[in-house]
Amino acid sequence: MERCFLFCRGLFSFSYGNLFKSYLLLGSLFLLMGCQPGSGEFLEQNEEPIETDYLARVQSEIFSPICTQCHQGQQAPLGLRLDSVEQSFNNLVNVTAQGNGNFLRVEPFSLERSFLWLKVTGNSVAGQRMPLGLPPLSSEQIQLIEDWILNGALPSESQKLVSLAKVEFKSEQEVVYVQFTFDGFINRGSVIPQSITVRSMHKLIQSYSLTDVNDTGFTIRVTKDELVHGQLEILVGENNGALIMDQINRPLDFDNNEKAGGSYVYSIQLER
Amino acid sequence: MFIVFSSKDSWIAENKKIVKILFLLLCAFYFSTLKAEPYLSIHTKQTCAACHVNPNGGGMRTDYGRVYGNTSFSARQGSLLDPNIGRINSYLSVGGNFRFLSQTQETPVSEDKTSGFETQSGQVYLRLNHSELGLELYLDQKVMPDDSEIRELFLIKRLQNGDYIKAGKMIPQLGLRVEDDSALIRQSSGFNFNNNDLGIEYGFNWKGGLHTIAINTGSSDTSNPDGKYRTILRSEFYLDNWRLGGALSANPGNDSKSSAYSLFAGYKFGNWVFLADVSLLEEDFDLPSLQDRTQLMSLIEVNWLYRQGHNIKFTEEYLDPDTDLSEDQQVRHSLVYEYTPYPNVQLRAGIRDREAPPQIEQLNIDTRFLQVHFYF
Ligand code: HEC
Repeated sequence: MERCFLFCRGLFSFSYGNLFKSYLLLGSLFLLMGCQPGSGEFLEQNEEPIETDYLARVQSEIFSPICTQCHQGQQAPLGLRLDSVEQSFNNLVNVTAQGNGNFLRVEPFSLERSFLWLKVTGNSVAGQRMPLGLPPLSSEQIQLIEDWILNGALPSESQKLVSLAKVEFKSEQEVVYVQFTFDGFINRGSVIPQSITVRSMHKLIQSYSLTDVNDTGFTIRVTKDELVHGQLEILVGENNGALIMDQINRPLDFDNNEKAGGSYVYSIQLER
Repeated sequence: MFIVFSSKDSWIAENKKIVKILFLLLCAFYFSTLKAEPYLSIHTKQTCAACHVNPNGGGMRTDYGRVYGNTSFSARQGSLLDPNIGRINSYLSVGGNFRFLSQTQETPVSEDKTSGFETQSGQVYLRLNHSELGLELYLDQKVMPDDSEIRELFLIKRLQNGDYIKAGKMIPQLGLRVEDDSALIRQSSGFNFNNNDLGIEYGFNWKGGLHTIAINTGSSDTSNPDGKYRTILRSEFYLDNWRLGGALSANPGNDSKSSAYSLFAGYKFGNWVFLADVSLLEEDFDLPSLQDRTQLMSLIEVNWLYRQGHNIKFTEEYLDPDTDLSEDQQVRHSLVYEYTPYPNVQLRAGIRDREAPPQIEQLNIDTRFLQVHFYF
């Protein structure tokens, strides 16, 4: 690393443009040739994923080291970001392939119907083989992807617990909106009336509506007429008939104690 | 060692002999190409726009570009092809770029090693221009390998003072647009020939430099799922023997924001051309459960044009895929010989040695290649 810096210094000192400096530049170039790859120390700090957590293994053995050279960030090809287990799951499983709309990127339990598998095995229906421009994946690596798909293409258990990030309140003439945002991806299907209690001075409000349910949260809309003395309380988590879950169907960490479960009550008093 | 038969096309695999003969025939045909290469721009002290229709460089050549190619670039002058072959009339011209590659890649993954032969890329260009109006339509269509695809399709309006406005599908540009798409600054930054966006670009000349402002979908797609746009600002100054520039890109999205910064320079010293590029890429997630990431990548290239038609190119590259991780950096060294016997052919042979942490076997790659490049 130090040598690389030396080299950069050499480069800038070149601005005088005379002969002597150019030799300096050439000299530093040879220094640069000595730049070494990393020892991979960071890999030792990582915990080994459990044997059967296939996505975690695919992520750490294939997606992160190889594919994220291209498949990361906003400009990831065809929007296929593979930066993390959460994103890989979200962008692959049951998502239509852009390269060929007849396929899903990953169809759980089926290799032949999974575009990802066709892409890494170099099947001609899938166009260019992945990883693009690099040597093909080894048979062990392909086997690992197969294990993941054939076992149902499940999300990774190493996914972090999802907790509440913020609650925002907005009041309009007739209605109020309360928006819950979580710090990770939630299972949209678990956001149902049974998993939320809306009340005002202990009176249950059933006529609220759930709007804008997305990957990281939802919004509750209540008309002001329903409120008793302008008081509003929303309960999520335990003490409801159901719990809001994350992608791997663990309850969210509602009370931010780094354990799944618990509950959270949001309450507000409107001015009258 | 690992086998890389770069072409998955079994026809090629089965008909290696025929392919080889075709390959030789092609070489013999002395078709080929000039290359969209920043080092040439610095060597000739010209902007990319002097030789290329696209002011960002690359792709179809201008009339001047063809003349330069025919007189000052190759070892021998006079081509077997009429230099104006692509010029149908004053309104319409066509062009093409074809690269054929024979390469061996070795990684420590397994014990075997094979080489492959492939059509690396084939592009055809079409340009419709209305010189009175200063308006042009430009198409860059990929025809090989695999599916045909529009790489670039835009309308460009050139103003009297040399400024221009482009609108359509374009390949965005950050730092140096070197031809080798596997260069770490190209591959890892996402600013490469595989990524194109819908957008507009305004380029203007000011204080001896070309400055561009581009706004595009930033999704490497013509659709824009996040509804947000990427902005790229880029400046490149032409100072006699020097070329200095910088660029920045901001690309907001739904749950993260990508930013990219690049500083680059070029210097000509006799028949030596030096290039350098340092780029930084930042990915900031709104979701705290996802880790932010910063990548650093750089390139140093030395070109020695020791005789007309001959160039020796030495490249050193560096990539730190995540500045928060220790000892994850990768390097790549390349030595490439470029020989342009006639105006329309270029042969390139080289070795590239990519080194990554030893645990990531797949990315410790030794590549040897021979490329034939033809252009009309
Ligand atoms: C050098 C850059 C690069 C690398 C490395 C790379 N890809 Fe890609 N990938 C692309 C590009 C560009 C496309 C779009 C063009 C295409 O489909 O061929 C793509 C497309 C895909 C698609 C098709 C998505 C769709 O919806 O059609 C899949 C699946 C894919 N890549 C998986 C992978 C996997 C898995 C890896 C790692 C083993 C990988 N890629 C490595 C550049 C890359």
